[in-house]
Amino acid sequence: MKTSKNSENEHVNLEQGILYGVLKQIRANEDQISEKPTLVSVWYCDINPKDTQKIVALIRDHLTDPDPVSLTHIKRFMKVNECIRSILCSLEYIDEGKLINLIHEHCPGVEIRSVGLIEVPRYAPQTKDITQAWSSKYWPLAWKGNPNHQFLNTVEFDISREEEIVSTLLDELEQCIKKSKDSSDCSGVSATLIAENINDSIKLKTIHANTGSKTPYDHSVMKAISSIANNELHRRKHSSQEDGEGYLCHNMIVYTTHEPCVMCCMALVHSRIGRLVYLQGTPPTGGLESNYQLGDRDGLNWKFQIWKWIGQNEVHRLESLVGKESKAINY
Amino acid sequence: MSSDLSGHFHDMALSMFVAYKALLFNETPVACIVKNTKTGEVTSIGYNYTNTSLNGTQHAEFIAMQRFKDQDVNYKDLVVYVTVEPCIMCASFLRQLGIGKVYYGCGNDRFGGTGTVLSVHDDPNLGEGRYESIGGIMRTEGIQLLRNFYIQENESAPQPKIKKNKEIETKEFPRNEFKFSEDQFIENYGKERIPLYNDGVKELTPVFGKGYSVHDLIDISSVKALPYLEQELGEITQDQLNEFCDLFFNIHDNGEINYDKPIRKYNAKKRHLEE
Repeated sequence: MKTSKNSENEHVNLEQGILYGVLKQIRANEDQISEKPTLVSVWYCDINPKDTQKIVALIRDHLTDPDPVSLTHIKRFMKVNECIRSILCSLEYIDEGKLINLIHEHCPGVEIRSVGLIEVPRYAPQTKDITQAWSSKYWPLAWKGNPNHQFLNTVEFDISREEEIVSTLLDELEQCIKKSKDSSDCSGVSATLIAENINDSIKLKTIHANTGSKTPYDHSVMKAISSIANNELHRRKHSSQEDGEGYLCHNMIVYTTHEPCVMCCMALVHSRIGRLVYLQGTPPTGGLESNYQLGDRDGLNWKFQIWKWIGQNEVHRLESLVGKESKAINY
Repeated sequence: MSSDLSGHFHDMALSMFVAYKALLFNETPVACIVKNTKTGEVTSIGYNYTNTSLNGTQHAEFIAMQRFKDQDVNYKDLVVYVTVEPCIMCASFLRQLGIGKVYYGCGNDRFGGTGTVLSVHDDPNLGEGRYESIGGIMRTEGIQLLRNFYIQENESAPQPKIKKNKEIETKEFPRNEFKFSEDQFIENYGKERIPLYNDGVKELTPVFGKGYSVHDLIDISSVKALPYLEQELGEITQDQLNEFCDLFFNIHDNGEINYDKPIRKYNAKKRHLEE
């Protein structure tokens, strides 16, 4: 095996996309990469070239960190006729009125010739060729080398905590199998846990199992998503203080025993989760490695990190509960 | 060779009205009705319920089918008329249930799971349950309902953002592209309509060579007869039905859209329609 010069981190295997020896990245491969990007609306303004430095400071100090959309792959400035057009921030972050107030407040004297919205690729393109194609079609983008290698080198997990949560998930599955009447038939048994990262610590929010029902109503991912929604409804009804409103499963972390089916994967896209961890693949009906790579597809309006847990202890424990991978069952 | 499509237009118009009721309820105007082909009876309705439930999976198809959860029903006998092509999630859901067939109004460019983005309904790799999903009946009405929802979002924002998008009374429709085979087109819509398949501009009509307006398709008694609708989304009045019909252009005899007809748009703030 080639040793990559980039492997400055010992726990990172760039070639195979494996972290800590237990989390394997599942992502679209080259021929599944779409030429069509996921787009996001961003604010631009046209200014006199002499004011460029003031706008640079505005973006750096006030519009980068609080913006929920990362624009590091976007070149910020482009010459348009006699003006400089600058990408300021996403529409998700701020509306036009607030943006104009910010500009007036922090850049007094800067003459804003126009402000408007354009659509740019939301995520960094995966290859240099696509970078060039999208740059000419949408807006100039920066190519800083393979973005996935950069991602793998910078992403960090508290791996003992991850292990703990996977064990909790398997405990739940084991309990449910014991409780169910016919414990000899474990096909279709699955469990899903949803957690949230709050102040750098991962808190469990809900856990659900499907004890072998064959109908799509009962998939554990769908049940877990519903329970997050119902809890939030309940919270809004009974809490008077405004401590931030939950929005779907925004950036939550989902741990599930099996590669979710196509329906469940798209439900996770609609619910805007941040990261998914699963243990067993489910050909032929799964919606990730088995089909479509939903969750890592340009063109849909949301992506999330997908990891397959390959730690042997947990994988063997799951196999002892439900059998080995590659049964043709719907989960 | 079903050349008279009046029955399908009637059923799709019912779905469109359910979608309008959802819009009045601050939901995205996408809806469906479910018809049992054995009895001809409408046995369920569904509408987008994501805003109220805070649950991004509560699409029209889920609301409609969940009602059968504890019933003994043969899903093969059920046909869904949905105003917008099912998304990837719903396409898979319907396939796992074993649905008989889907008719949809307009395509779903962002998430369409039965031909536009993916073809989950007939992908041979996904095991059992392949079904037919046929679009184009009341395509422009399906789009216009969504436009009425999106302008409302913009108008309720503190400062309207994109002015040009608000002028939906004159805005033209994207090309009419059918996302299924020519054979399926002929089988479902009849041989005489085949010039439409690649035309791009003309729309389907209930009777070939004759235009229509939404007024002609449904009346107050047919929408009042829909199960669950009034209990869940409130009383239906003749005024509401008229306002609904006034949202849409009519279609000429040759299938072209009559952009000259003055139409209304829905204004959430005023809670009524404005000219």
